[in-house]
Amino acid sequence: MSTNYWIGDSIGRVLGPLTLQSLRELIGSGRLKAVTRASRDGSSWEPIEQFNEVKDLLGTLKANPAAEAQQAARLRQQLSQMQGLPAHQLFGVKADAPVEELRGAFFRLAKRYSPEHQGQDTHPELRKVHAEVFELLSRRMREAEAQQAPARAPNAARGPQQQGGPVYTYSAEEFVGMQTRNDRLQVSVKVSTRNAGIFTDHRIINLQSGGLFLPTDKPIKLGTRVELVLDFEQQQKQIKLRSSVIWEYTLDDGKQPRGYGLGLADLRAEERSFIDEFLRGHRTGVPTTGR
Amino acid sequence: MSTPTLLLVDDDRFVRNLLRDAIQESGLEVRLLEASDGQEGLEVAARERPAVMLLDLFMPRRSGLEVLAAMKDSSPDTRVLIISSMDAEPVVEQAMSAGAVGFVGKPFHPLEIALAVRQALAH
Repeated sequence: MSTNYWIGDSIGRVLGPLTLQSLRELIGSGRLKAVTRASRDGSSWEPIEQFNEVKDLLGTLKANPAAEAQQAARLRQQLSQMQGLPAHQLFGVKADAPVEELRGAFFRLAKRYSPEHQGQDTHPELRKVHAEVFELLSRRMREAEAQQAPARAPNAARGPQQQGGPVYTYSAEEFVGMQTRNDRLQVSVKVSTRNAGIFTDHRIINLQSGGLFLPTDKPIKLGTRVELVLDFEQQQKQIKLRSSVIWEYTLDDGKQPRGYGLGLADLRAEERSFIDEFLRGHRTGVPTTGR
Repeated sequence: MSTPTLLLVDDDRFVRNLLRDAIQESGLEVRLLEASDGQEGLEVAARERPAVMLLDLFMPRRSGLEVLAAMKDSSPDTRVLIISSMDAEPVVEQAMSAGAVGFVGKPFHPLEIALAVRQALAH
Protein backbone atom coordinates (compact mmCIF):
# COMPACT_ATOMS: atom_id res chain seq x y z
CA MET A 1 0.00 0.00 0.00
CA SER A 2 1.43 3.38 -0.96
CA THR A 3 2.28 5.91 1.71
CA ASN A 4 0.04 8.93 2.00
CA TYR A 5 1.27 12.45 2.54
CA TRP A 6 -0.31 15.68 3.53
CA ILE A 7 1.53 18.85 2.62
CA GLY A 8 1.05 22.40 3.83
CA ASP A 9 2.15 25.89 2.87
CA SER A 10 3.12 28.99 4.81
CA ILE A 11 -0.41 30.41 4.87
CA GLY A 12 -1.93 27.39 6.57
CA ARG A 13 -3.41 25.58 3.61
CA VAL A 14 -3.27 21.79 3.58
CA LEU A 15 -3.59 19.22 0.82
CA GLY A 16 -3.88 15.49 1.27
CA PRO A 17 -3.91 12.60 1.53
CA LEU A 18 -1.76 12.26 -1.59
CA THR A 19 0.45 9.48 -2.85
CA LEU A 20 4.07 10.26 -3.67
CA GLN A 21 3.11 9.79 -7.34
CA SER A 22 0.43 12.50 -7.04
CA LEU A 23 2.91 14.79 -5.32
CA ARG A 24 5.44 14.12 -8.07
CA GLU A 25 2.88 15.08 -10.73
CA LEU A 26 1.78 18.22 -8.89
CA ILE A 27 5.31 19.42 -8.25
CA GLY A 28 6.65 18.36 -11.64
CA SER A 29 3.91 20.24 -13.47
CA GLY A 30 4.53 23.38 -11.44
CA ARG A 31 1.12 23.29 -9.75
CA LEU A 32 2.61 22.93 -6.29
CA LYS A 33 5.49 25.17 -5.34
CA ALA A 34 5.48 26.76 -1.90
CA VAL A 35 5.40 23.67 0.32
CA THR A 36 6.78 24.29 3.81
CA ARG A 37 5.62 21.32 5.91
CA ALA A 38 4.42 17.77 5.54
CA SER A 39 2.65 15.07 7.47
CA ARG A 40 1.97 11.35 7.16
CA ASP A 41 -1.30 11.40 9.05
CA GLY A 42 -2.72 14.87 8.47
CA SER A 43 -2.34 15.86 12.10
CA SER A 44 1.36 15.67 13.10
CA TRP A 45 3.27 18.12 10.98
CA GLU A 46 7.02 18.49 10.45
CA PRO A 47 9.09 20.95 8.42
CA ILE A 48 9.55 19.76 4.86
CA GLU A 49 13.26 19.19 5.58
CA GLN A 50 12.25 16.14 7.66
CA PHE A 51 10.72 14.46 4.62
CA ASN A 52 13.64 13.66 2.35
CA GLU A 53 11.48 12.08 -0.35
CA VAL A 54 9.24 15.18 -0.63
CA LYS A 55 12.12 17.62 -0.24
CA ASP A 56 13.99 15.83 -3.02
CA LEU A 57 10.96 16.14 -5.26
CA LEU A 58 10.80 19.85 -4.65
CA GLY A 59 14.51 20.40 -5.05
CA THR A 60 15.73 18.08 -7.73
CA LEU A 61 12.81 16.68 -9.67
CA LYS A 62 13.87 16.44 -13.28
CA ALA A 63 11.78 15.54 -16.25
CA ASN A 64 12.36 12.20 -17.94
CA PRO A 65 13.61 13.31 -21.38
CA ALA A 66 13.22 9.91 -23.07
CA ALA A 67 9.64 9.44 -21.89
CA GLU A 68 8.75 13.01 -22.82
CA ALA A 69 10.25 12.59 -26.29
CA GLN A 70 8.06 9.50 -26.79
CA GLN A 71 5.05 11.40 -25.50
CA ALA A 72 5.83 14.21 -27.95
CA ALA A 73 5.98 11.75 -30.86
CA ARG A 74 2.63 10.23 -29.88
CA LEU A 75 1.03 13.63 -29.50
CA ARG A 76 2.38 14.76 -32.87
CA GLN A 77 0.68 11.76 -34.47
CA GLN A 78 -2.59 12.67 -32.78
CA LEU A 79 -2.14 16.28 -33.85
CA SER A 80 -1.98 15.29 -37.53
CA GLN A 81 -5.32 13.50 -37.09
CA MET A 82 -6.79 16.46 -35.20
CA GLN A 83 -5.88 18.89 -38.02
CA GLY A 84 -8.65 17.59 -40.26
CA LEU A 85 -11.39 17.63 -37.65
CA PRO A 86 -14.08 20.30 -37.45
CA ALA A 87 -14.45 22.13 -34.13
CA HIS A 88 -17.25 19.98 -32.72
CA GLN A 89 -15.36 16.74 -33.36
CA LEU A 90 -12.12 18.20 -32.06
CA PHE A 91 -13.84 19.30 -28.86
CA GLY A 92 -15.98 16.16 -28.57
CA VAL A 93 -19.41 17.81 -28.67
CA LYS A 94 -22.47 17.31 -30.90
CA ALA A 95 -22.43 18.92 -34.35
CA ASP A 96 -25.28 21.27 -33.39
CA ALA A 97 -23.84 22.18 -29.97
CA PRO A 98 -24.16 25.88 -29.12
CA VAL A 99 -20.99 27.94 -29.01
CA GLU A 100 -21.15 28.05 -25.19
CA GLU A 101 -20.79 24.28 -25.05
CA LEU A 102 -17.90 24.41 -27.51
CA ARG A 103 -16.20 27.02 -25.33
CA GLY A 104 -16.57 24.82 -22.26
CA ALA A 105 -14.97 21.89 -24.06
CA PHE A 106 -12.30 24.19 -25.48
CA PHE A 107 -11.31 25.45 -22.03
CA ARG A 108 -10.96 21.95 -20.67
CA LEU A 109 -8.68 20.93 -23.53
CA ALA A 110 -6.78 24.20 -23.81
CA LYS A 111 -5.81 24.08 -20.15
CA ARG A 112 -4.26 20.67 -20.65
CA TYR A 113 -2.04 21.94 -23.46
CA SER A 114 -1.43 25.45 -22.16
CA PRO A 115 2.24 26.45 -21.87
CA GLU A 116 1.44 27.33 -18.26
CA HIS A 117 0.73 23.72 -17.44
CA GLN A 118 4.20 22.41 -18.12
CA GLY A 119 7.19 22.09 -15.85
CA GLN A 120 10.35 24.10 -16.26
CA ASP A 121 12.25 21.10 -17.59
CA THR A 122 9.71 19.87 -20.11
CA HIS A 123 11.37 18.38 -23.19
CA PRO A 124 11.56 21.07 -25.93
CA GLU A 125 9.81 18.83 -28.47
CA LEU A 126 6.95 18.13 -26.06
CA ARG A 127 6.68 21.83 -25.29
CA LYS A 128 6.58 22.56 -29.03
CA VAL A 129 3.89 20.01 -29.86
CA HIS A 130 1.80 21.15 -26.88
CA ALA A 131 2.00 24.71 -28.23
CA GLU A 132 0.89 23.48 -31.66
CA VAL A 133 -2.09 21.62 -30.20
CA PHE A 134 -2.96 24.69 -28.13
CA GLU A 135 -2.81 26.84 -31.25
CA LEU A 136 -4.99 24.43 -33.25
CA LEU A 137 -7.61 24.38 -30.48
CA SER A 138 -7.59 28.18 -30.30
CA ARG A 139 -7.88 28.51 -34.07
CA ARG A 140 -10.86 26.14 -34.23
CA MET A 141 -12.51 28.00 -31.36
CA ARG A 142 -12.01 31.36 -33.08
CA GLU A 143 -13.51 29.97 -36.30
CA ALA A 144 -16.52 28.58 -34.43
CA GLU A 145 -17.04 31.87 -32.61
CA ALA A 146 -16.71 33.87 -35.83
CA GLN A 147 -19.40 31.71 -37.45
CA GLN A 148 -21.84 32.32 -34.64
CA ALA A 149 -20.92 35.91 -33.62
CA PRO A 150 -23.41 38.62 -34.63
CA ALA A 151 -22.11 41.30 -36.98
CA ARG A 152 -20.78 44.36 -35.12
CA ALA A 153 -19.48 47.73 -36.11
CA PRO A 154 -15.70 47.85 -36.49
CA ASN A 155 -13.78 49.06 -33.42
CA ALA A 156 -16.82 48.51 -31.21
CA ALA A 157 -14.68 47.06 -28.44
CA ARG A 158 -12.05 49.72 -28.27
CA GLY A 159 -13.81 52.10 -25.98
CA PRO A 160 -14.85 51.51 -22.39
CA GLN A 161 -17.38 48.79 -21.79
CA GLN A 162 -20.89 49.97 -22.44
CA GLN A 163 -23.19 47.51 -20.66
CA GLY A 164 -22.65 46.35 -17.08
CA GLY A 165 -19.47 44.88 -15.59
CA PRO A 166 -16.31 46.84 -14.88
CA VAL A 167 -15.49 49.86 -16.99
CA TYR A 168 -12.05 49.35 -18.43
CA THR A 169 -9.96 52.40 -17.66
CA TYR A 170 -6.78 51.28 -19.33
CA SER A 171 -5.78 51.23 -22.96
CA ALA A 172 -2.90 50.23 -25.18
CA GLU A 173 -1.51 53.72 -24.78
CA GLU A 174 -0.70 52.87 -21.18
CA PHE A 175 2.07 50.66 -22.40
CA VAL A 176 5.47 52.15 -22.76
CA GLY A 177 6.76 49.64 -25.22
CA MET A 178 6.12 46.42 -26.99
CA GLN A 179 8.72 45.06 -29.38
CA THR A 180 9.71 41.72 -30.79
CA ARG A 181 13.22 40.44 -30.30
CA ASN A 182 14.07 37.05 -31.81
CA ASP A 183 11.23 34.76 -30.73
CA ARG A 184 10.30 36.84 -27.72
CA LEU A 185 8.10 39.83 -27.18
CA GLN A 186 9.33 42.52 -24.86
CA VAL A 187 6.56 44.32 -23.05
CA SER A 188 7.02 47.20 -20.61
CA VAL A 189 4.10 48.46 -18.58
CA LYS A 190 4.11 51.61 -16.51
CA VAL A 191 1.73 50.55 -13.79
CA SER A 192 -0.36 53.33 -12.34
CA THR A 193 -3.77 53.85 -10.75
CA ARG A 194 -5.26 54.28 -14.20
CA ASN A 195 -4.21 50.92 -15.55
CA ALA A 196 -4.17 48.84 -12.34
CA GLY A 197 -7.20 47.10 -13.84
CA ILE A 198 -4.88 44.98 -15.99
CA PHE A 199 -4.53 42.83 -12.85
CA THR A 200 -8.15 42.77 -11.79
CA ASP A 201 -10.75 43.79 -14.35
CA HIS A 202 -10.69 40.84 -16.69
CA ARG A 203 -12.93 38.07 -15.48
CA ILE A 204 -10.70 35.27 -16.68
CA ILE A 205 -7.19 36.60 -16.82
CA ASN A 206 -6.42 38.38 -13.59
CA LEU A 207 -3.95 38.30 -10.72
CA GLN A 208 -5.99 35.72 -8.85
CA SER A 209 -6.02 33.35 -11.81
CA GLY A 210 -2.29 33.90 -12.27
CA GLY A 211 -2.19 36.41 -15.08
CA LEU A 212 -2.75 39.92 -16.33
CA PHE A 213 -4.64 41.24 -19.33
CA LEU A 214 -2.72 43.16 -21.97
CA PRO A 215 -5.13 45.25 -24.03
CA THR A 216 -3.82 45.76 -27.54
CA ASP A 217 -4.89 45.57 -31.17
CA LYS A 218 -1.49 44.23 -32.16
CA PRO A 219 -1.83 40.57 -33.21
CA ILE A 220 0.18 38.21 -31.00
CA LYS A 221 0.35 34.44 -31.32
CA LEU A 222 -0.79 32.32 -28.42
CA GLY A 223 2.18 30.80 -26.66
CA THR A 224 4.48 33.70 -27.58
CA ARG A 225 7.13 34.10 -24.92
CA VAL A 226 7.14 37.49 -23.31
CA GLU A 227 9.76 39.35 -21.32
CA LEU A 228 7.57 41.50 -19.14
CA VAL A 229 8.67 44.53 -17.18
CA LEU A 230 6.19 45.99 -14.71
CA ASP A 231 7.36 49.43 -13.77
CA PHE A 232 5.75 50.85 -10.64
CA GLU A 233 7.17 54.29 -11.16
CA GLN A 234 5.68 55.97 -8.11
CA GLN A 235 6.93 53.22 -5.82
CA GLN A 236 10.28 53.06 -7.65
CA LYS A 237 9.97 49.32 -8.11
CA GLN A 238 10.44 47.21 -11.19
CA ILE A 239 9.34 43.61 -11.57
CA LYS A 240 10.85 41.63 -14.44
CA LEU A 241 9.21 38.37 -15.42
CA ARG A 242 9.33 35.68 -18.05
CA SER A 243 5.82 35.14 -19.24
CA SER A 244 3.86 33.81 -22.19
CA VAL A 245 0.61 34.57 -23.99
CA ILE A 246 -1.97 32.17 -22.60
CA TRP A 247 -5.22 33.77 -23.67
CA GLU A 248 -6.56 35.90 -26.45
CA TYR A 249 -9.67 37.97 -26.86
CA THR A 250 -9.93 39.40 -30.33
CA LEU A 251 -13.67 39.64 -30.85
CA ASP A 252 -15.21 43.02 -31.56
CA ASP A 253 -18.19 42.23 -29.38
CA GLY A 254 -18.39 45.51 -27.47
CA LYS A 255 -18.04 43.73 -24.15
CA GLN A 256 -14.37 44.25 -23.43
CA PRO A 257 -11.22 45.53 -25.08
CA ARG A 258 -9.33 43.26 -27.39
CA GLY A 259 -6.09 41.90 -26.08
CA TYR A 260 -4.18 39.02 -24.60
CA GLY A 261 -3.67 37.30 -21.29
CA LEU A 262 -0.14 36.86 -19.99
CA GLY A 263 0.62 34.19 -17.44
CA LEU A 264 2.42 35.21 -14.27
CA ALA A 265 3.61 31.78 -13.14
CA ASP A 266 7.09 33.11 -12.34
CA LEU A 267 5.83 35.82 -10.01
CA ARG A 268 7.61 35.42 -6.67
CA ALA A 269 5.69 35.56 -3.40
CA GLU A 270 7.15 38.92 -2.37
CA GLU A 271 6.38 40.39 -5.78
CA ARG A 272 2.85 39.09 -5.53
CA SER A 273 2.54 40.69 -2.09
CA PHE A 274 3.85 43.97 -3.47
CA ILE A 275 1.23 43.98 -6.26
CA ASP A 276 -1.53 43.04 -3.78
CA GLU A 277 -0.46 45.93 -1.60
CA PHE A 278 -0.34 48.28 -4.58
CA LEU A 279 -3.85 47.27 -5.62
CA ARG A 280 -5.19 47.65 -2.10
CA GLY A 281 -3.75 51.18 -2.02
CA HIS A 282 -5.04 52.16 -5.42
CA ARG A 283 -8.27 50.29 -5.93
CA THR A 284 -10.03 50.13 -2.59
CA GLY A 285 -12.44 47.24 -2.32
CA VAL A 286 -10.84 45.12 -5.03
CA PRO A 287 -10.07 41.75 -3.46
CA THR A 288 -6.76 40.39 -4.71
CA THR A 289 -5.64 37.67 -2.37
CA GLY A 290 -5.43 34.08 -3.54
CA ARG A 291 -3.35 31.80 -5.68
CA MET B 1 -39.88 22.25 -6.49
CA SER B 2 -37.71 24.15 -4.00
CA THR B 3 -34.68 26.19 -5.02
CA PRO B 4 -31.52 24.05 -4.75
CA THR B 5 -28.75 25.21 -2.45
CA LEU B 6 -25.13 25.49 -3.63
CA LEU B 7 -22.28 25.72 -1.15
CA LEU B 8 -19.03 27.37 -2.30
CA VAL B 9 -16.06 26.20 -0.25
CA ASP B 10 -12.83 28.06 -1.00
CA ASP B 11 -10.46 29.98 1.25
CA ASP B 12 -9.98 32.64 -1.42
CA ARG B 13 -12.71 35.25 -1.20
CA PHE B 14 -12.01 36.41 -4.73
CA VAL B 15 -12.55 32.88 -6.08
CA ARG B 16 -15.81 32.65 -4.16
CA ASN B 17 -16.88 35.95 -5.74
CA LEU B 18 -15.94 34.67 -9.19
CA LEU B 19 -17.91 31.46 -8.60
CA ARG B 20 -20.86 33.45 -7.32
CA ASP B 21 -20.77 35.70 -10.41
CA ALA B 22 -20.44 32.75 -12.77
CA ILE B 23 -23.44 31.00 -11.24
CA GLN B 24 -25.62 34.08 -10.96
CA GLU B 25 -24.88 35.15 -14.53
CA SER B 26 -25.64 31.67 -15.82
CA GLY B 27 -29.28 32.19 -14.93
CA LEU B 28 -29.39 29.22 -12.57
CA GLU B 29 -31.92 29.72 -9.82
CA VAL B 30 -30.10 28.58 -6.72
CA ARG B 31 -29.49 29.66 -3.15
CA LEU B 32 -25.80 30.33 -2.60
CA LEU B 33 -23.89 29.73 0.63
CA GLU B 34 -20.17 30.12 1.32
CA ALA B 35 -17.52 28.62 3.56
CA SER B 36 -13.90 29.75 3.78
CA ASP B 37 -12.14 26.50 4.73
CA GLY B 38 -12.67 22.76 4.75
CA GLN B 39 -13.87 22.48 8.33
CA GLU B 40 -16.41 25.27 7.93
CA GLY B 41 -17.51 23.67 4.65
CA LEU B 42 -18.32 20.41 6.44
CA GLU B 43 -20.19 22.23 9.19
CA VAL B 44 -22.30 24.30 6.80
CA ALA B 45 -22.99 21.22 4.66
CA ALA B 46 -24.18 19.22 7.68
CA ARG B 47 -26.48 22.06 8.69
CA GLU B 48 -27.80 23.21 5.30
CA ARG B 49 -27.75 20.00 3.24
CA PRO B 50 -26.80 21.67 -0.07
CA ALA B 51 -27.63 19.96 -3.36
CA VAL B 52 -24.14 20.71 -4.66
CA MET B 53 -20.87 21.66 -2.99
CA LEU B 54 -18.16 23.42 -5.04
CA LEU B 55 -15.00 22.40 -3.24
CA ASP B 56 -11.42 23.65 -3.41
CA LEU B 57 -8.69 21.15 -2.50
CA PHE B 58 -5.88 23.25 -0.97
CA MET B 59 -7.40 24.97 2.06
CA PRO B 60 -6.76 25.70 5.72
CA ARG B 61 -7.84 23.36 8.55
CA ARG B 62 -9.08 20.48 6.37
CA SER B 63 -8.11 19.72 2.81
CA GLY B 64 -10.73 19.27 0.13
CA LEU B 65 -9.87 15.58 -0.20
CA GLU B 66 -10.54 15.10 3.52
CA VAL B 67 -13.81 17.00 3.21
CA LEU B 68 -14.79 14.87 0.23
CA ALA B 69 -14.22 11.68 2.22
CA ALA B 70 -16.12 13.02 5.23
CA MET B 71 -19.05 14.16 3.08
CA LYS B 72 -19.69 10.56 2.07
CA ASP B 73 -20.74 9.81 5.65
CA SER B 74 -22.08 13.13 6.86
CA SER B 75 -23.93 14.43 3.75
CA PRO B 76 -24.18 11.58 1.22
CA ASP B 77 -26.87 13.32 -0.83
CA THR B 78 -24.73 16.36 -1.60
CA ARG B 79 -22.98 16.18 -4.96
CA VAL B 80 -19.42 17.45 -4.72
CA LEU B 81 -17.79 19.30 -7.60
CA ILE B 82 -14.06 19.95 -7.22
CA ILE B 83 -12.72 23.35 -8.34
CA SER B 84 -8.95 23.32 -8.00
CA SER B 85 -5.65 24.16 -9.65
CA MET B 86 -4.34 20.79 -8.39
CA ASP B 87 -5.71 19.07 -11.48
CA ALA B 88 -2.95 16.53 -12.08
CA GLU B 89 -4.36 13.27 -13.43
CA PRO B 90 -3.83 11.10 -10.33
CA VAL B 91 -5.43 13.75 -8.14
CA VAL B 92 -8.44 14.05 -10.47
CA GLU B 93 -8.75 10.24 -10.46
CA GLN B 94 -8.48 10.14 -6.68
CA ALA B 95 -11.19 12.79 -6.29
CA MET B 96 -13.53 11.11 -8.77
CA SER B 97 -12.99 7.70 -7.14
CA ALA B 98 -13.78 9.28 -3.78
CA GLY B 99 -17.17 10.36 -5.07
CA ALA B 100 -16.75 13.78 -6.72
CA VAL B 101 -19.17 14.29 -9.62
CA GLY B 102 -16.82 16.57 -11.55
CA PHE B 103 -13.50 18.40 -11.53
CA VAL B 104 -12.92 21.89 -12.96
CA GLY B 105 -9.31 23.09 -13.09
CA LYS B 106 -8.34 26.61 -12.11
CA PRO B 107 -8.12 29.10 -13.64
CA PHE B 108 -11.66 28.52 -14.82
CA HIS B 109 -13.97 30.23 -17.23
CA PRO B 110 -17.42 31.16 -15.87
CA LEU B 111 -18.97 29.00 -18.56
CA GLU B 112 -17.12 25.93 -17.31
CA ILE B 113 -18.55 26.50 -13.87
CA ALA B 114 -22.09 27.00 -15.16
CA LEU B 115 -21.90 23.82 -17.25
CA ALA B 116 -20.41 21.78 -14.42
CA VAL B 117 -23.01 23.02 -11.92
CA ARG B 118 -25.86 22.23 -14.33
CA GLN B 119 -24.46 18.73 -14.78
CA ALA B 120 -24.02 18.28 -11.03
CA LEU B 121 -27.60 19.41 -10.38
CA ALA B 122 -28.87 16.94 -12.98
CA HIS B 123 -26.67 14.13 -11.64
